[in-house]
Amino acid sequence: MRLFWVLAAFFVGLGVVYWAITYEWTGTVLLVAAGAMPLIVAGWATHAGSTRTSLPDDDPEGAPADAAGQELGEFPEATGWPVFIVLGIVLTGAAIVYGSILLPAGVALLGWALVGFVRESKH
Amino acid sequence: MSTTVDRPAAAPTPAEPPRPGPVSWLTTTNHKDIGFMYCVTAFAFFLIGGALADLLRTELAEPGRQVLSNEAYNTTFTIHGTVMIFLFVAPFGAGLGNYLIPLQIGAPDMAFPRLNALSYWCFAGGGLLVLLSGFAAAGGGTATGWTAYPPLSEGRLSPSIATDLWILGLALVAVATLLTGINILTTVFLMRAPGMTMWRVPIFTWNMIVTSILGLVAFPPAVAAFGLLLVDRRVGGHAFDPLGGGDPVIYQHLFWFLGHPEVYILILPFFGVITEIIPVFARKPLFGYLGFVLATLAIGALSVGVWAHHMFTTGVVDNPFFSAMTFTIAVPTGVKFFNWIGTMWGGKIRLATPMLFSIGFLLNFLIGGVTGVLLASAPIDFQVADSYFLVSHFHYTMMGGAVFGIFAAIYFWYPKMTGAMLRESLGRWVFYLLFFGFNLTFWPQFVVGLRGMPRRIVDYATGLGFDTPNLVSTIGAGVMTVAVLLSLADLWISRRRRIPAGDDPWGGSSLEWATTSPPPEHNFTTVPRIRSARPAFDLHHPELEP
Repeated sequence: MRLFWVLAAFFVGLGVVYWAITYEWTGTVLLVAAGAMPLIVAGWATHAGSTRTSLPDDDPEGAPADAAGQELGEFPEATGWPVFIVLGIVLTGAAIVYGSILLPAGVALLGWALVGFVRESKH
Repeated sequence: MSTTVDRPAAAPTPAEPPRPGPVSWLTTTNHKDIGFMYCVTAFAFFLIGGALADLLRTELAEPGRQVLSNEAYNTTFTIHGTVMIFLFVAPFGAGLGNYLIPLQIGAPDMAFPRLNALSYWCFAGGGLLVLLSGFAAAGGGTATGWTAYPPLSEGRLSPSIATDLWILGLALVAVATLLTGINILTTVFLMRAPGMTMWRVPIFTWNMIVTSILGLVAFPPAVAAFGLLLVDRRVGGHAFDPLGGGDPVIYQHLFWFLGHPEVYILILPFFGVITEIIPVFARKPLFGYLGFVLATLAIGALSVGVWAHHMFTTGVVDNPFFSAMTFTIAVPTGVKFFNWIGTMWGGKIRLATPMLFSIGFLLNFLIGGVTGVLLASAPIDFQVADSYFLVSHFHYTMMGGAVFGIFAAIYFWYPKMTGAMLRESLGRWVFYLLFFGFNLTFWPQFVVGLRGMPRRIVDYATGLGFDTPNLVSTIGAGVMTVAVLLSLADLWISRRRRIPAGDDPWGGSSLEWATTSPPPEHNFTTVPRIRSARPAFDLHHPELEP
């Protein structure tokens, strides 16, 4: 996770250098903001890492048996909600282009699909 | 309904897996299905984009008007560029990543399978909107070029709803890229098999890590730019409209802050592809694994600081800063060439189809890269900006590089994905025709570019030295079309007359070659012990203890 700290420092540092050379705001803001993404990941990873023991993934001598029984998570078998979410987004977006008559249908479909998607994730 | 998976053993392989129907394709969350769907959909977009390129080349074959009106020509090159960049090359890399990353790191699936499905459908939905913006919009197709610079893309000059559809489509594709990036990073950092340390992760996966980080950094500003452009067009905003006090150059900053990292988002996965292939067919381990990974990270980091070399001629950016940054990025790219040549040096090279495409990649990309260094020099850029020199440089990197990488990947991993081989003899023909046709198409474009032919023009006068190179270029495009049709025939024949591939037809090194072809639902019935960066090689050669 040091990678993300290094990236954050590089982007912010580059932003400072860019500002010092060019006095141009747009690029400076873009570079400093670019540093925020790895900073978020690095911050979370540091926080999570402080409460986590090392995984067999990171052990060069790790063997499959070392992780026996360790649960990786649940893998859903099928879901139709993503298709409906995208249909909802397309319909809502189309309302901006073709007229607001499509908006209620788009928002309703998107809302219904998002609720279904989230509810499904709780099962 | 869900399946809980424990490590290291995964769910057993069904003896006769049921043939997937339309509903299962619509609802699948399995990373291999989604990866396959990504690749197939992206290749379908390639065929559409290629057909549009043929139209453009037919129009430019000789002076005078052939097949397209002014408006149709502008729409055709707009949709060609958008489709090839955002709907073909980048999604094909994402598809390969989806399919291969869990296999390469010994994971049963991606970290967020339902999010993975959502990202695919966002891509497919966005792609559909982009196509509609070209061909099915009232008032004519969008004709702003793939960069959609304001003020041309503002409502005053492009009033058709087609441009709005284009913006919405690309925004949806951007969401897909962000979701895929989050998924890939989480999967690699948290789901590796025991012993698969970060310094043993296959190079393709490393390249996808950097690609994902670039996507997460570079796409949000572009989405912001598209959003503001839509507000300008639909709600009367003036963010980029100079008549309302806006600044169109800010759009260029936001766009190219995506646009240049996007070039690396397009190419890095295929750097990874050929780096998987070359050691296998040179019968040697990769030369300089650590240096290669560090060079990839350096390219990723530096690529975020070069965006305004696309804006040299605006006169409002600091040309020396961006020149220096662009020259610098050539250094880690050169390191990679050193890795590839060092890997082949002294190896027992087998010129199978994937290796041929990889060598083609190296040759073409070298020309694209060197001309890129020329363009990094602002005085040269001023001379050739918006000329066919630029078009040729870009195609040497993107088509000569990424597309050759895609064909290399298809011929290399198709046996893993399907359990069947493609025909080597046909594959070689595809390579030779594509390589010959590609250079026949794009080398003359350097010539006409240096003679001053501007890009994005529907016609040109005789006697300027443009005629013969353009005719040769069009003939080259025809040769490439034959090559692509031949590759489709190869795929079709392989489905009809199946030649079993076995689990490891090439003698591969990375972990995907240690499972069956095609792999079972959760990838491995048993994950082998990982003792080096070449676990499949270790498994097949236990006598060579690392």
